[in-house]
Amino acid sequence: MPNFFEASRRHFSDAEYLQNDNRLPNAGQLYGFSAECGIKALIEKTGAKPTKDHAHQLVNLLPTLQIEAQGRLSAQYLAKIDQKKFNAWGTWHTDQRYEAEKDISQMKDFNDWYASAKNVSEVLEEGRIDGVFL
Amino acid sequence: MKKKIEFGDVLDKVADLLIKLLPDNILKDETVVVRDIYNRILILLKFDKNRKKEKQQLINDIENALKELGPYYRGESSVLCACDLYESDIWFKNQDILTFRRNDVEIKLLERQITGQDWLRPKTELHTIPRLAFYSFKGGVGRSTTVAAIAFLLAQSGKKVLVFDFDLESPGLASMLLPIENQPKYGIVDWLVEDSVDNVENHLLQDMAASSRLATNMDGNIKVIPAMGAKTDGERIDPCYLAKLSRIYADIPKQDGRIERFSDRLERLVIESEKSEKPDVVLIDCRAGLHDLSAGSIVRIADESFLFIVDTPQSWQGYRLLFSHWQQFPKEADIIRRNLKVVHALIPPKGHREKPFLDESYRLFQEILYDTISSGDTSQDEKIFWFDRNIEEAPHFPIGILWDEFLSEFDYHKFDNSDTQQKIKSNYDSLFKTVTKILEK
Repeated sequence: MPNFFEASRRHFSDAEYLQNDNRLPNAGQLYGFSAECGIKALIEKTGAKPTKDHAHQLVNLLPTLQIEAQGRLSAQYLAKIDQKKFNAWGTWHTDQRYEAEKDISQMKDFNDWYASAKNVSEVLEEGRIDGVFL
Repeated sequence: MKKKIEFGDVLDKVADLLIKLLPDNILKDETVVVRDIYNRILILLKFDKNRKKEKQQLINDIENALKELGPYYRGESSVLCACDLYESDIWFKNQDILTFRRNDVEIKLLERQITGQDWLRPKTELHTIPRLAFYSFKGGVGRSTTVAAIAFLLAQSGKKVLVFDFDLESPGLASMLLPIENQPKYGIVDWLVEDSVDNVENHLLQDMAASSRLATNMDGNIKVIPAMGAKTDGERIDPCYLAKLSRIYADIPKQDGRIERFSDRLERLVIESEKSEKPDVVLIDCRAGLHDLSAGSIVRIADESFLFIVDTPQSWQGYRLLFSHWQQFPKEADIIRRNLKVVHALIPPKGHREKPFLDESYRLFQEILYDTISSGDTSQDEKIFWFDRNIEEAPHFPIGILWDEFLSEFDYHKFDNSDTQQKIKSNYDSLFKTVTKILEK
């Protein structure tokens, strides 16, 4: 049974671990999964059920949340998801895991991926402090 | 049978168990109590990984003790250490941390709320143009009429007055000061929605402020920034107003990663309008009641707030409610209470009992906001805030406004009449004098 909140935290902290060791391609992959799970955790709080086919279309997740978010509980967190930062996921793809490091040209966007994953994590952490995610 | 725990019991119970379990220095310097949005309790301890390991037994003891909170127990992980958080500074250095006292022990408290945080966030930014707020706990007490009258008297005395209608959920000040054909294209709500998508251009600010004809042929002027714009040609009424209003309260992420709160956005609107209009004084017509719009206006934005009170039990009870909230947090209350002034509104023309009003007002302040609060530092006694009953400058000493049938059905076109002007002058004379004194300061 998915626990998107826990999964998002786990992917983020593992990604940080890899990043600190300069293993950026897999760090980038995990930041992506962290953001994906984070947004799905928020989508669940809107009362909607996140679809499964979003892993390779991360950038499509935010519009889903934007449509579902309504009322005070979910809207207060959605408003803090930085949409400009989130657009960075346009160059992220799960298929990058099949490629050689030198061939992943999108790695130039790593810092932007990191910035968005961090933003999502911070919003989730706020939800945790608030008692929305336990 | 054991008494069931209810909302109001939780904080004291938590304080008691922390005082019992935690060494003084850890409680004072390394502990933050969080009340989450359901009033459940989370304890944050400023421990890194090593300290967490070292203090594991203590953490377990707190976790176990918190189970006594019943429905207000968050379950496992009711204690988090700094090392469990991504950015622990966000929480340990949070601007919303308050201090509450239990048996003379000070405990840091972080209130996580859906609304209402601004009632305890006094302003910190300095500004030069005086800002006066007009607030009432209940509506229908002549507050907006008073704002219009004071704007008129100030303009007559040569001041450039900028008036905001912050009563966004029941706007009306603009229609009192401006004929509909003169109302500006945009209002505060337009600025808020456009600003949230970075779509504010210079002209929007200028198109929000309209000159009131009330100040024609006067040395001063009155500019009005209404809640809503009159942008639709022909119709003049904005059909999207409710759709806009329902979206304005969100906090907005900024480019530098900061989150800008609703009240900070309102304050920025005031600052930008001050820059563009360069008034001598800003008047704010607040929303009534315990709303975020009122908290933002009184606590965050205004230098002085006039509290309109009608001599009815519900009005007194309302202010008691608000003051008691402030009273629990002495540091914040000490700032806020210095900027309040009571207005005795709607005084009946005959047989009114001004003395009992003064007594009641004095009792309200004396019991809740006066000497019962020190600044929190008992070594500095001079900070204690105290006035005798008959001190006219004191916050509790009421400025009277008589109820007047003519003025109660008042709008812009009645200002032209010299009888009206005379009536305004006499009815609002004491309040106008107080306002003038504040401006001289």
